[in-house]
Amino acid sequence: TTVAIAGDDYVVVASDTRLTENYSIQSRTHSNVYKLHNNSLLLSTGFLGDVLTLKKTLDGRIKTYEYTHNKQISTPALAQMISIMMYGRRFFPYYTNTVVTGLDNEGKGCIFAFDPVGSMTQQGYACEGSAMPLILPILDANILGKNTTKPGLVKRTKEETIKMIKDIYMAACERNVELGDGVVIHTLTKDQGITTDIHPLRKD
Amino acid sequence: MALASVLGYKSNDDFSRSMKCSKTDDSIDRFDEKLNIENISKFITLPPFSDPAKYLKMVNDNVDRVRIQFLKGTTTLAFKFRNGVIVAVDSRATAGGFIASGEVKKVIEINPYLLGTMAGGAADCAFWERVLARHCRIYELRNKEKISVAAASKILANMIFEYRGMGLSMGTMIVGWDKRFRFCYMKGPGLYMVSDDGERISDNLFSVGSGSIYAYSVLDAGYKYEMSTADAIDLGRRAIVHAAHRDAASGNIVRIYHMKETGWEKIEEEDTNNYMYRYRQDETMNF
Repeated sequence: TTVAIAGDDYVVVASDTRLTENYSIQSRTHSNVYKLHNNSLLLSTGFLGDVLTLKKTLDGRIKTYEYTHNKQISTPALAQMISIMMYGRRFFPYYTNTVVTGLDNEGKGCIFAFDPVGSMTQQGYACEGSAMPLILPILDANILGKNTTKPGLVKRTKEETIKMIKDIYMAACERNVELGDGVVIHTLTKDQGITTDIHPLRKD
Repeated sequence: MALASVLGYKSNDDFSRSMKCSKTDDSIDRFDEKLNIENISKFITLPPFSDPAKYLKMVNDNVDRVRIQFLKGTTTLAFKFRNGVIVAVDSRATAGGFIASGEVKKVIEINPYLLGTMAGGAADCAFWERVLARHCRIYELRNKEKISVAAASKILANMIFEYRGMGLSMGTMIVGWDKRFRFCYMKGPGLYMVSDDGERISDNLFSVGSGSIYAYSVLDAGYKYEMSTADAIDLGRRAIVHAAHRDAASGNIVRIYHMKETGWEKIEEEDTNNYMYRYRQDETMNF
């Protein structure tokens, strides 16, 4: 399960570290977040084979862009490229739910979510994975302020967002078998780049 | 590079990289195919089995815990009237029974005088209308005049027909305004519906999607060609709001665009629920 939240000048991205196959735990230290060459983060859940192939192809395409255009690809352009690439497999899709996050040209956090065939939507926050039905309503309430006593968009700092994500994961892993072991939280800002934080979760 | 392809200059890569190492350039091109109209069929990989439509339908339900569900878009409508064309859409995208997003842009702005709507598969509509936008731009550069709506919708219908039967799902409306009066076709607003089996028809009033049945009833009750602009916007809005109210797969935000002689203009985007509460209190309707 992965969660991404965009702020005014940061993006916080989190993933649990449990890899399961039909109720067996294959790994306790596998993160669903992948760092891409242009300082953006790719979150991808679903079939691991397709996720790794997608990341490998993307790495190559990003480097090609850098060599032909002499600059790093921006996150919105990368999102459009992913959309077209995934549509290339329209009749035999990549079985992944991907989200790509980064900072756009003005330095604001941006999140682009895709369905398995590349339909792209820009969002303020995203959640994918097995615990998505548990976590997404909490994000709707906390970030957009929907259906709360004080409706309206809630602005948070980086630290408050990270604390909220830790609380959410700790609550969600009580009710979902495929969640647990640990949560890796990456924060992407312009000045400090990508900082990583690992928080342990229940191992049962 | 765009100029070279407009002129029909095929080996544009040699043109721009004549001084560099040709061996690595070739291997880059094989790895990173340029997406042109000419080689779309090479770009979309053929699946390793014979019936992609059946396979995709199977995994859309549940096969061994594999569930590939695409985002589908839902109620869209467009109608011609005295002062142009009104396009109204909702903004909900569902993946199976799950509301994946409440803020999808279902009107695709192809260029300042052409709009396309999205219903059915979100990725299908977005991709093919992007290809259509590129083709329209090249037409404009080559012929020094804006493409007609009939031609644009024909291009889209022909591209879709190539993939007929393979499981594409799209019901899109191409809306635009033809400026030049040429070869005796109708000048003025143009509205065509193009669907995934290659069907392309023109009419004054269309609604596409799961909520279209509800939208049609409201539209048919209130539609008059001589409506004023304010009435037309109100009719489009009411139709979407009522469809959103009754159809589970439609809702969230209603977006309205008005296609005029000077191009399209975005009128509003508002929550459908708020409008429904207002309509409940205010019993008067315009028809």
